[in-house]
Amino acid sequence: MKRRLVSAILLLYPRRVREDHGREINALIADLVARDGRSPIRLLMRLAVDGLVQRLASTVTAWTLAAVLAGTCIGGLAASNLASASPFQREPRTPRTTAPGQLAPDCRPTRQAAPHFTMTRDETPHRPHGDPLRSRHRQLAAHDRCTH
Amino acid sequence: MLLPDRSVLVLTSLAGGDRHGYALIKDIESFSGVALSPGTLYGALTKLEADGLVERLPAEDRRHPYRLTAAGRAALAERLTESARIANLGLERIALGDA
Repeated sequence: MKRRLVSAILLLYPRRVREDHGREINALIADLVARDGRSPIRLLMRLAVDGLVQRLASTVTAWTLAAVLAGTCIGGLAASNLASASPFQREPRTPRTTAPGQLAPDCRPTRQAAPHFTMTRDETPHRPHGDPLRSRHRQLAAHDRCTH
Repeated sequence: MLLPDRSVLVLTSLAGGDRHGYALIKDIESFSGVALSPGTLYGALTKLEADGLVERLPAEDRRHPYRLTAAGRAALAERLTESARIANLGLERIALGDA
């Protein structure tokens, strides 16, 4: 049973180690358990961990790492270019400076004093604050800009 | 050639004579205090054998003894000389710092 378990764990190792030294590893584990009284469970667990480490070290070479890094960089650049060329981009938003539901300070309707119409001697109206109709029109336009 | 530490331990043990797996583990534990696992030991032996630094002798009851080759002896000597040079330098600097 234990030999079968060791053989199963040895499948984690690179083929070279498994084929060249599989029987020796089995014999060595049997020696360590019989002569030194080592815990078989601990030995088997460490055998499995070593096998994983060696398998990773034998498959992940420097070239593999370099290829993965290069692929990641090229893929990232391509995705970035595609995103910047997309027609579905949103308009850049200006940061909100007021609480939701409030109008921005420059959009608040200003309370203007009612234009005074004073009559001069020659009976022509004097409009100290400009043309009231034009002023009202500007106010409405500003309000429309802020609400739409 | 840059030898990893566990390879240096295995080569140093084999410099004292031919040994199989169990004898290697016990010898390394006695002179360095490092308990190599079977997987680590045979991983190192596989690499050293592939590099021509150790050779496997015919089996004695399922256990193959290993022997240091001439190339292995030279590589070990080079590595230990370099380690000794660094160790001496470090010790000199420590002594100067203490003085």
